[in-house]
Formats: sequence, structure tokens, C-alpha cells
Amino acid sequence: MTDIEFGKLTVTNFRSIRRTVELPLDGTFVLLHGKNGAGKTTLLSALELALTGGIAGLRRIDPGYKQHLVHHGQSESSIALEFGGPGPRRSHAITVSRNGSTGSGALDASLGGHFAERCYLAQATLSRLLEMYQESKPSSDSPLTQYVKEILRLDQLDNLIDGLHVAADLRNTRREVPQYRESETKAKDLERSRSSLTTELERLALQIDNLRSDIDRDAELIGAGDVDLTEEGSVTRWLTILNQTTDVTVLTHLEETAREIRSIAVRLAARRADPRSPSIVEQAAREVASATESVEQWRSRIGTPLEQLLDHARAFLPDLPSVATVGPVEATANALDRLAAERGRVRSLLEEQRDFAGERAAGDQRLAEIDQQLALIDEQLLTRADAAEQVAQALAGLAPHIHGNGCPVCGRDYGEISSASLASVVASRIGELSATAAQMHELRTARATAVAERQRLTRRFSELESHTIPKANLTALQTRLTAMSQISAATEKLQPQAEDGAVALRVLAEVQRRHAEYLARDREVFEARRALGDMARRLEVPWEPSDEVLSDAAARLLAVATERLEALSRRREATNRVIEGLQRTLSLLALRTQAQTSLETTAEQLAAEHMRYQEAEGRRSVIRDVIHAANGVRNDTIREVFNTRLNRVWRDLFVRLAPSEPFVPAFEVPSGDRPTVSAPLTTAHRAGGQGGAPATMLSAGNLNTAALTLFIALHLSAAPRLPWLVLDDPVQSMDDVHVTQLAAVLRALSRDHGRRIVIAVHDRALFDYLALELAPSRQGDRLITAELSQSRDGTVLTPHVTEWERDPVSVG
Amino acid sequence: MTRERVDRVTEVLASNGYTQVDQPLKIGSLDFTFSSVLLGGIGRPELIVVVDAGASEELQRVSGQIEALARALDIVGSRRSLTIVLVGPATDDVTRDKLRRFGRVLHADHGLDAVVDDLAVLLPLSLAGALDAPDHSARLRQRLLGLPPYIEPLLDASRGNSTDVAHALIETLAEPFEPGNLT
Repeated sequence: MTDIEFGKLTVTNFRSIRRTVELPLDGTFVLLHGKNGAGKTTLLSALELALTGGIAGLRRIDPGYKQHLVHHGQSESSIALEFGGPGPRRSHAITVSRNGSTGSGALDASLGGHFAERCYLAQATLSRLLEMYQESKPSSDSPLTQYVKEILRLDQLDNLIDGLHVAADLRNTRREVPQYRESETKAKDLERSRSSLTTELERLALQIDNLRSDIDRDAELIGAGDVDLTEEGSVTRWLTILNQTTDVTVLTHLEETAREIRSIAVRLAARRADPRSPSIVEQAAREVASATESVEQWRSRIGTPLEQLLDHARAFLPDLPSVATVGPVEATANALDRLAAERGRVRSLLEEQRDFAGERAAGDQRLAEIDQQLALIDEQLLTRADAAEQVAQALAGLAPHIHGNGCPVCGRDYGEISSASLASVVASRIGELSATAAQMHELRTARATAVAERQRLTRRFSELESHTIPKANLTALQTRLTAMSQISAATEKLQPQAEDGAVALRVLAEVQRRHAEYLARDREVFEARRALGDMARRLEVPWEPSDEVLSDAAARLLAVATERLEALSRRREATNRVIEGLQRTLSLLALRTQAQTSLETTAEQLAAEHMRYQEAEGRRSVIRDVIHAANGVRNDTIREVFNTRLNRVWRDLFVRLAPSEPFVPAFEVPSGDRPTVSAPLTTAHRAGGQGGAPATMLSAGNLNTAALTLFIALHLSAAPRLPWLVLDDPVQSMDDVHVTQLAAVLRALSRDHGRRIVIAVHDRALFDYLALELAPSRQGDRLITAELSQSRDGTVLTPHVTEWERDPVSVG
Repeated sequence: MTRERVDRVTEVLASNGYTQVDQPLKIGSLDFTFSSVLLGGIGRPELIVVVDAGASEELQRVSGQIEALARALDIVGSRRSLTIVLVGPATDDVTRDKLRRFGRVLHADHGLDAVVDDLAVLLPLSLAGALDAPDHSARLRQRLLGLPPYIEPLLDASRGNSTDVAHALIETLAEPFEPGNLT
């Protein structure tokens, strides 16, 4: 609380105050008396104006009130407020002009507001407090509610509760914090993945178990003992051992042996007779010798001459095949055919040359005839007028112009020389000339025909000359034809013996083939025996080939080899199955390891995701606790502020002023989970129990008391920033009892809480009573009483100061 | 019964700044005797007379004494404010109104428990606790004692507005999901 104290208030020509009045304010109590209209309220409003720069009660009624503050008939008002207390005195002056301009108040806006709202109870304010009771449900922005909210200071808690409300509900949290839903989705995915991997591991374990039983069975078959399939290392070691086994080599060799034996047996079976007798080979050799002799005989008798003939023939037909090449029969037949054909060709060539010679001779004769004919025609042509036809045509053109014997050409009279008419002479002449022209035409045609034939003959002669063989060549051809005819004749004679030669040669070839075959077979059997001996040694079985037919021995060896091969194959197959099983197991173990690693990773990720989510949920739970705690603090605060700070003080004051009233006014404490703050008023019975609204429960006097005590309670509940309490005629419609109690309350406010109280009353008796009751009761206290009145000379204020004196009645 | 009430009234006043005085009370040359008499200390100018008002005859007698006491106080020039506390159920309105001419009259007739209310106007006006500004933050922190440190930003944000708190909340709830946290 500030230690500012009032000193003195000087007011001049302000509102109802005319001239100047001075009111000392430096007392514990200042008691002001005046009749209605004497200027009490004016004086107190001057104090408010000096402190705050305004008058709140008037401003509410008329915002332009400042224009009416100067006393009627005066040009300006002035107010001066001196401050007391320790330190140098200071004062604050305000001049009010008629246009309403005033200076600012002595207090800053905050302190000024506090004074106007909480320290100065104007009559208008008391009325306003009473009106509040009429509101059954005050709005949340009513001044009283605002004030209550101000002292509750719930803003921060409300911010916290409102801001955190999202955390109270998971769906809201998901909406506002997208990471929540993402984490849930991720966790679901990971759980699905984990389940899938677990199933995969079970499937792999089952497959490995199934493989184990198969492998165990085959391993027993090959004598491999128990195989540890639980880990990859032991499986790999087993695989290495099994792959290193010699079974493969043995099997390969055995298969090769069996194949060879089988091959030998097949070859032996193909030669059912076992050619162990050498006589057959020797017989064959003899047959070869005999056949060779026959061939040689034929060759000396027939073959050689025949070949010589063919050699001769090759002089004309170089590509004739020889006896050695195609055999005597075909060589002979071929030579004969080719010779015959060649002879035919030469012969026809010679005949053609003869024809050419005959044609030329005839041609030469015809050419001579044509030459003679041409000479004759040319001679005849020379004797005939060449222009007979044109003359005949000219005369024919003149003939129509001959009239009589006058010549149309020279005009002479033909009759002079002949008796025949000119026309007939001309007609006769035209006939002669036409006959001559026809002969000329025939001669020319004949000549052209002769010339053409002569040309044709000449061309033919050229052709014949180009195809004509020279005479020397014709002679050679003739010689050749003769030679070929002789060769053909000689060959034809040998032809029947050519067949004999062919037969002899075939026989020789056959016996030679058979002989070679016998020799080969003999060699084969030898090889087979040697090979079987090798096989027997390889198979390590007894071998006595002399006692046994070779094919039987082969069969015996094959049976041994086959039996061993089958046993080894079975073993090998089992080994392969074990190897295959182990390889499959290895791949399954690799898959299992992979799946286990994935499962562990997935489980770790899932655990991490759960941890994140749980941490967030844990936080949400803690935040819900925070909301709960904040609501709790809020409710506690509201209850506490209403009960302790407002209702307790108000009740205390009201009970002091109205001790016989059973109902006391109170703020209704908001209730519920999160109550809305408002300030509805109610009453409570002093013995406990709820009453109705104050307006319905209290008398008019007690309503006034309730309003006054509410103002004082609010004054006391605000942080004490100023030491003053100014009350303008607060005891209207109070009975004596209330008045006596009020004096005690004011004294308690002064004594217990250091308030300096200015109070104005209009009732004289009350003034006197209060002057007694508020008399200084301890050293330092001062009571200032002042009488205010209006006189003809202006407003008059008469102050009186009462100092403290020791009372004659005291303890001890 | 009334004696008990008189004692209770005396006890309440004696423990609130008043001193019981020996009787008879001597004012000037006159002696006065009542059920109980108390004087206020510094700043309390009251002279309190406690009267057993159980019987109307007694009240009649005592009212005369009180009138005499009031005159005696005037005579000695005392400014003591006289307060008469009537103890007992039956009171005579006429007498009580008469007594009011001499001083403040209080009636302690609401039972022992209500004596404090009946005497309230004489007792100190206590504002204990009424002026303490509610310190929500301290109360909340008291309730949240031992909670993890991540709620601090939320409490800090409440100094702004609810949107600030909502932002801080989202950050707090999203924090565990951030890469590098809790892995």
C-alpha cells in the first residue's frame, strides 16, 4: 500500500460550490456534514477529479459531463489537492474550463482506476451495487464477474486446460498428432511381418525335419551314421566327406568295364559260329587264288585286246571309261554305243557337204540364166519410149479440146496432112502409147524379179561357203569314219567274251571279300579273348578261357560286373540323395538363418515402436493427470477465493452491521467439473443452509447494508494500493442499530487495517453520533469534522479537528 | 445457563483485545456492578457491560444502573463508547430500546457457538488469507511434484494462450516418435 496521505482539498467554483472552500483531509477520519444540496457529493467528486482526472459516476450518466462542472455563472473552476504524510508536501491542481477541458489526475491510470472502483463509494455506485442484486444470473462479462475473474486469475490455468484438452481423447490426439496413427500403422505392419516370419520358420523347421528322416534312412544305407543337421557347419563337413568318396571313380570304371564286356558279347553273338578253325580261312585263300587265275586268263585272251581297242577308240572319244573302271561288259557296251553315235555324226556331216556342192552347182547355172534374162530385158527397155505413159495421159487431156481437125496446140488444121480426123488420130495414138506403157511395165517387173532372185542366190552362196568344210578335212573325216567302223567291228567280235570277264572278276571280288572277312573275324576273336582276360583281371574273377566258350565267359563276366554295378549304383544313388538332402538342408538352414535374422530385426523394430508409442501414451497419461490437477487447482481456487476471500469477509462485515439478520448475502460458489466463473448472488442462513436471492430474502435496509458491505468487502479483497476509503452518505435507509454497528466497522477498518476514512452524511444526529464514535482512541489519531452549507456569500465549510486525549476511564 | 453464556462472552472479548475489569466498576464516586465489565485497549474506546438478561426484573434493575453509568461517564468526561451485551433469551423490547439511548446494544441469544457472530462488531476485522493472490502455478506444481520434465514447456506455454499450449502439447506427444529418440 502506498503511503500517500491527503493534506487539504481546496475547491473553487466547482459545480454547486460557489467561491472557495477548504477541507482538511489529514485526519484518521474526516466526517463531513451538510444538508441535502449543501455540496457534500460535489466536494467528494472534486476529490475524485483531482485524483483521477474524471468523475466515473457522472461519466456513466453523461459522457459530456465535463462541460457542466464549472459553477453556474463562473468562467472556470479550480481544484487543488495537497498531499500530506512524511516528506515535503506537494499538491496537484486542476483547472476546469467551461468547454470541459481539465488537467489530468494526480494518480496514474491504474491507481486512478483503483481509487474510482474500489476506494470511492459514490451514491451512484451504491445504487449500482443494489441493481446488481436484481440480476438473477449475471453475465460472464458483468463488472462484478470481471472483477471476480480478475482476482481469480484463472487465465493461465484455463490456457493450460484448454490447450491440453486434445490429450484427453485418443481420437483427438490421433487427429492432431499424426505420428500416433503412423506409429499404429507401422506397428500393425511389423506385427504382420513378425507373424509371417514365424510361420515361415515353422515351415522351414518342418521341411528340415522331413529331410532329416530321409537323410537318416539313406545315410544308414551307405553306412554314414547319424548326420547332425542342426547347424550349417556340420552339414557342410558331411557334404565334403561324401563328395570326396571314391565311389564315383569305381562306378565309372565298372560301368566302362560292363559296357566293354557287353560290346564284346554283342559282337560275339553276331558271329554265331565261333571261327576258331583255320581251314575256312585257307579255303578262302585258295578260292582267291583260283579266281585270280581265271581272271588273268580272261585278261590275256580278251581283256587286254579289248582294252587296246578301247585305247584306239579313245583317239576319237578320249573320255571312254576303261574296263578296270566300269567292268568289261559296260566298258564294251559303252564303247560300242559311243562309236556308233560318232560314226553316225561323221557320216551325216559328209552327206551335208555333198548336198552343199550340188546346190552350188545348180545355183551357178541359174545365176547364168538370170544374167542372160536381165541383159535381154535391159535391151528391150532401151528400145521403148520411156515417156509413153505421160504422153498418153497428156493426149488424153487434150482430146476433149479437139473439135474438128484444128490442133489445139498449134492451131493448124490436121486435115491439111491427113484425111483421118485429128480426134481419131489422137485416139489411135493414145491407144498405141498405152500399149507401149503396159509393155514397159511388164519388163520392169520381170527385171525386178530377176534382180531379187540373183540377190537371194548370192546370199545363199555366202552361207554355203561359210558351212563348207575344206577338202583336206573332208578327207580326214572320211578316214576317221573308216577307222571307227573297223574298231567297232573288232569290238563287237569281243563283246560276247566280255561277259565272261565280268563273271570272273565278280567271283574274284567275292572270294577276296570273304577271305578278308575271315581274317578280320579271326583277329576280332583274338582281341575279344584278350579283352575279356583284361576284364576278368579288372573284376578280379578267375579266367580260364580255354575251358569255356568265349561268349559264355563274356556272359559270366558281364553278370559279375552288372551285379557289382547295381550294388554300387544303389549306394551311389543313396549317397546322391544324402548329398542332395544335405544341400537342400543347407539352403533351408540358410533361409532359416535369414528368417531368424529378419524376425529378430522385426521384433526389435516392433519393440522400439511399442516403446515409442508407450512413451507417448505415458506422456498422454501424465498430461491427463496435469489436466486433472489443473482442474483441481482451478476448482480449489474458485472455491477458496469465493469462500475465503469474498464470502468470508463479506459475511463478517454483514454480520457486524446486521447482527440480527439470519440470512447473510454471499456469492454462489460455482460448482461442477469445470465451472464457468460468474458471480451470481445468493443468501445463506447463518446456522447453515441455502437461502434465496438477496432481493427476496432481505429487507430494504439490509439490502442497503448488503450493498455497502459488498463494497467494503471488495475494497478489502483487492490488494491494498491506496489507504483511503471515501463513502458518500452510505447510511440511507439504515436504522439506528445498523448505524451504531457501522461506526464500529469503520473504526475496525482504521484500527486494524490502517484505512483513512472520509465519510459524508446528511443526517445531523448521525453526524453527531459518528463524531462521538469516531473520536480518536489512540495517540496520533485525528478526527476532522466539517459542516458544509450554502450562504448568500457562497459555500461555507467549517472544519474542526479533534485530537486524541487520554480517557479518564481506563484499565487499572 | 446464562452464567455460562456470560463467561463465554467474557472469554471471547478477553481474547480479542478487551480486558475484564474488577467490580465494582468505579466511575467518579459511583460504583457499578454487572455480570461482567470489560474495557477496550488502545484504539478500542469501548466500555462493555455484560448483562444477564434472563429475568425481566433484573433487566429493569440493570437498565437503571446503565443510565447512571452513562451519566457518570459524561460527568467524568470519558469518550468511552458504551456497549451493552444482553445475555439470555428473553428480552424486553421496551427496555432494550431504552438502553439503546445510552449505547450500542448487542444481544447474545443464539447459543454458545454463535457468540462470536453476536459480538462480531466488537472483534477485530480479520482478513487473514483474504489478500493472498492465488498462486496457481505453485499449487499446480505442488500437485505435479515428481512428474517428468517434459511438462515444463506446457506450463511455460500457458503464460501465453491456449494455442501456445496446444502447440507445445503436439510437440511433447510427437517427440517420442522423432528419429533418434528411444532407439
